[in-house]
Amino acid sequence: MMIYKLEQTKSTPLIALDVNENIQRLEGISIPIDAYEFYKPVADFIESNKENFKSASEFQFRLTYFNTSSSKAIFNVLHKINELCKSIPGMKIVWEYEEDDDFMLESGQEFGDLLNAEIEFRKN
Amino acid sequence: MEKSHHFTYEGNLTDDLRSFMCTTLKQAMSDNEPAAKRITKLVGFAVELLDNAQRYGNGTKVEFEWKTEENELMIIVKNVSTEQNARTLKNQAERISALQITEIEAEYKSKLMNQDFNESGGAGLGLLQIMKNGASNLRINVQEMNNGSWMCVSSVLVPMNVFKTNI
Repeated sequence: MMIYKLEQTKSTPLIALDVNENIQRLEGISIPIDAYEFYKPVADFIESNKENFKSASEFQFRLTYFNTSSSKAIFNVLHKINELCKSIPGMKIVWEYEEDDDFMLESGQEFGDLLNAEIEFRKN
Repeated sequence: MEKSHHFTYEGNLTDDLRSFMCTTLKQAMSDNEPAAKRITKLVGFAVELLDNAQRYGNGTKVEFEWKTEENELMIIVKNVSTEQNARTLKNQAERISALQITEIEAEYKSKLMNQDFNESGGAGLGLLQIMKNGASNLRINVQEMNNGSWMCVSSVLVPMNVFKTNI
């Protein structure tokens, strides 16, 4: 499987992963009750396609808000991506946030610190 | 506080309804200048209390209320639960409320990284995040009802001027 896509809902984000594309994207609200089940296929897809992603791919996160169980599951996804970044040239994690949203910026910075990951922050 | 707001909901809880109520709170708080840069943090308090109500409630109706008055945001969630879930929630809230902020941050980071989820899908982070993010008064009151179920009343009080000084 080279593509994993889920449409955005009122409580779960868009997931658009395609190893043939340069942009991988997660976007929206993330408050599923079972975040582990929601994000497990995402982590599994990244793990099973770690040889297939293009160099210089961007994993873009643009989250509106999320619950703490999503935090834990997203942390695991970021960990998988960070491992990819170490072996695939030019691959990077991009954390987008609204100009006034200090919390979302701080959340991304906290993930980066805990993972010792280089994250590019983009203000929208 | 530039404007006062009051929102109440009583009924069943779904993922979509939680989203609607949190988005409504976010929109209302965008009117409030001191809170403007911390809206997502404020919404996070409601997200976690509603999350607990749906995750650990017994599936019956909940009551959700938030109001802004006198530079404070109050969020209250009432839900019915089992005795075990009610007591666990109360004990957790009392334990976390007694911790120093450095202890809360350390426990939060440890639990974020451990990848353990409980059988209800909870990450064990919700109450920690509420306290970590500046709620001055987290209260969980539980009471046995006539039918053997337990009523949980969870509330947080957030002083808005705290956010103003942090900006």
